[in-house]
Amino acid sequence: MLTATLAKRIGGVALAATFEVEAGSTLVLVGESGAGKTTLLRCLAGLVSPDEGRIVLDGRVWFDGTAGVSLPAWRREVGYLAQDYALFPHLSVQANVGFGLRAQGLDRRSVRSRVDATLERVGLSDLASRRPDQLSGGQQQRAALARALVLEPRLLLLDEPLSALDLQTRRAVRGELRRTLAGLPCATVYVTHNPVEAIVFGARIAVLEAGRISQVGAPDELLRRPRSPYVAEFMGVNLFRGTVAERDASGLARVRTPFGSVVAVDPGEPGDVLVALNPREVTLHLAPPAGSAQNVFSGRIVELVAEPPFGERVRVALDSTPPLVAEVTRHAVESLGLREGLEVHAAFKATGLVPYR
Amino acid sequence: MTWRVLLARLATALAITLCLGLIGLPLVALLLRVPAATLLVRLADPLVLAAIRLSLVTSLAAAGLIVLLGTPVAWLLATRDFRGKRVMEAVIDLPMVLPPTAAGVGLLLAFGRTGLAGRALASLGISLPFSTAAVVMAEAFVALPFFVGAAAAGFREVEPRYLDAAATLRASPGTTFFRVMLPLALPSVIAGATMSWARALGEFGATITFAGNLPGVTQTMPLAVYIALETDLDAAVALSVLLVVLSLTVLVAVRALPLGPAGLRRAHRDAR
Amino acid sequence: MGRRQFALLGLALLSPPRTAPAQAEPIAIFAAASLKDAFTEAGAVVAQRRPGFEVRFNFAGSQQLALQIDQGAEADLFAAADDRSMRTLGEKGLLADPAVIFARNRLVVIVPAANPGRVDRLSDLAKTGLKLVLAAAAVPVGRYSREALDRMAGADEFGPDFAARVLRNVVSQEDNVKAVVAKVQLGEADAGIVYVSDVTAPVRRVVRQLAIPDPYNPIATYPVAVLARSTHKPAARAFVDFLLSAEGQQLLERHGLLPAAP
Repeated sequence: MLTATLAKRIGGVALAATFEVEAGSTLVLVGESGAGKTTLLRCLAGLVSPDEGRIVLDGRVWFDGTAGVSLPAWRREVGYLAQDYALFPHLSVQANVGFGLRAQGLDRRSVRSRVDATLERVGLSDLASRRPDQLSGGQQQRAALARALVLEPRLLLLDEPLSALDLQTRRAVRGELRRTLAGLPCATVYVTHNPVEAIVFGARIAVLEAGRISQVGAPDELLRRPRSPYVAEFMGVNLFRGTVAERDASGLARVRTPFGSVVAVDPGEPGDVLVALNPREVTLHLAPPAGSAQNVFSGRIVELVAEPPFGERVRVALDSTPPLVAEVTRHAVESLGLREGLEVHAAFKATGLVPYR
Repeated sequence: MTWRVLLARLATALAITLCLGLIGLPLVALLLRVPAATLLVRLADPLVLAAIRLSLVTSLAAAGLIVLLGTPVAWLLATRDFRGKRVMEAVIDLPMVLPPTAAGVGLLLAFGRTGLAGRALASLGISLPFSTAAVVMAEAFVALPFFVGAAAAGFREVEPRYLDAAATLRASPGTTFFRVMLPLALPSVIAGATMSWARALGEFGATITFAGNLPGVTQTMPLAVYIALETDLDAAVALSVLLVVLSLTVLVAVRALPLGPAGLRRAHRDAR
Repeated sequence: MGRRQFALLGLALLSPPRTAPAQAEPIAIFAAASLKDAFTEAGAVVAQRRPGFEVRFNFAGSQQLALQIDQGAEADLFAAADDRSMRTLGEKGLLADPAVIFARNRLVVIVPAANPGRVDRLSDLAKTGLKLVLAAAAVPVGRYSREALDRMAGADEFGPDFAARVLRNVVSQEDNVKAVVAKVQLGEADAGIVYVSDVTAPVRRVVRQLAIPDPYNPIATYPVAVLARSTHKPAARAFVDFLLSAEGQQLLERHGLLPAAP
């Protein structure tokens, strides 16, 4: 179990975060570049010292600003997988994986047997005597992970472990990596800027914006109740911020936003609220739609983005007021003849929109 | 081809010719002057043998001392910033710009019998001037900056991500240095050691001033050449040729061997 | 500065300087290290008397200078501390006139003022562990020193193995006499053998002298000769004339040298 509170000023970023990670679970850390993700990871690893704070892992104090405790990285039972793996170029895969064990003073024979076993497990036995430059991207990633895991760390830190791989390898490795991480007893912090990875790997997701955690929760929570425009954008959800204006008897209320009003479920109390709208709830029409949808907005199509992997679903961005993103089927795009610049009408019901604070 | 390009090419060719000529002509002149037969006869002269042996022993000892003392200094300069760092770097570089004879006088004033530290050493029964140890000291003094400069540059080039990785793999700073930093910087370290050895081998001014000139004890090859020059030009030429052959052999060998700087660089480059 | 001006400046700097007035007589004198102080003063005196006389000195071990002259160094006059260096040049026909003895010198033992080796008598030179500095055998004063030791060895008072024992104490063989003086001055050597003329006023302040009695003291003879390749022979000869004149001999004596004629 990792408990961390830390603050650090570095570059132009003032990082200040508090969070916990249970043993055996993974916290995904997302954010823009420059938000402080790598700094946070390096503070946890012990490569850099926070200005103040406290980092405790499984009851061991790794850092305590007030008590003057600051364990260097090599004294922490941490595993670190860097973005570019940092496999030692002058050592073979075998020597790389065994590096930490040798550093701890373990005798050659024990190191050998444990390394062999680990290489067997990750399927790199045949490449044991190769140099890192002779491995593919996916193999390097496996080797680097094996190198960290063979030391049985209590905290595993992964800095965008899939971003250096090409798309195809990434998909193949992703599943494997998820299975590996799921079976680990340690606490894991996984940094990514990819929403799909965030949802796949994280039991919980923490969003770092300008050095601060703006929201932390299960993927579902972030999907249904994003608390900041960035989180909403990251999860691919529409977010409206406004004030409850008129409330009517049918259990609906009008929420006034700077861009226009949205009809949602009555939250029960007046005041500032957030309303999240899943793009899939938005239907597109060429003419103003008849029907029971309480919310209808019109606008021009700004962008059409086919969703990976196969483009079966398409995201349509509109310059309506407020701006909206809808997600429709490819079939719908074709049958409606949707294209950039086309004026369309977007509609969504109020009953699915539950405001929250 | 425009005349401007032609001119540039001619100028370059001229510069190269002059450069190679400056270095090559004296070597050729030396080699032409002494027939190979007399060279072997000279080698049998006990004074010559003594000078060769002394030169090899002292230069290797100096190189060893330099590597031992210089590596921590190079590591410090490459990895840490601290107040007075520039001053320290200037001090380390000083022997490179100081005329060797001036260096010898300095060494005498410091370690001579009446010198700053020499006085303390004398009370312990250690007397440095006129000894072989003094030769090693003089050679180490002038050659140190060559090693520290190259080694520090090599250490600086080691990418921090490897050092970070080692730290996260339970490696103490010492382990990180010996298992990661040093191996990755090895080409530069070896190049620096070789350069400093070569400088030590050729050292003259500081040696004759601080250590003196006594065959078998302090008369290294360069001193022997100088003394021989005054009475027997052919002997001086022969000794010079021997020095040239010795130095060239080592320099070429270091460049060619796989463990030498060029070989290691090739290996690392392929590994990227 | 424009390119044209740069070129003009370059040309101006590269062109040879205007020649000196016709009466200028710059000469190069190669002289033994032990003659440094005496010759520098003599050069000044002659320059005063002879308009246009300019002299440039090169002081070093006589053997080294002879080698340089042999290899073609531009010198007008050569003054050596022994016959040998001069004779070699004479045999090669490099002398314009026959060499002439213009001064003599004697040896003396010097020890640092503090006398760390506790050398109070000549026989102390044979004490074990003494740090003795001599000039190398190829240097005139080095040869003279060894000759003196041999003479001493021939006397009962020192014993036949005296020279050998003293030579065992040699810790360094310097290549010119001034280096021997320096080592004793600095207190590094316990004793050294140099010329009497080397014990100048500043040296006297920090060393003590032990006289070497006449029977053992080889008299060094200093020959001087104008060189065949000289292009300023009149000026060179004028310098020699001064050295041999009464005034010149007095000057040399003032610097510790002995007159040419015994």
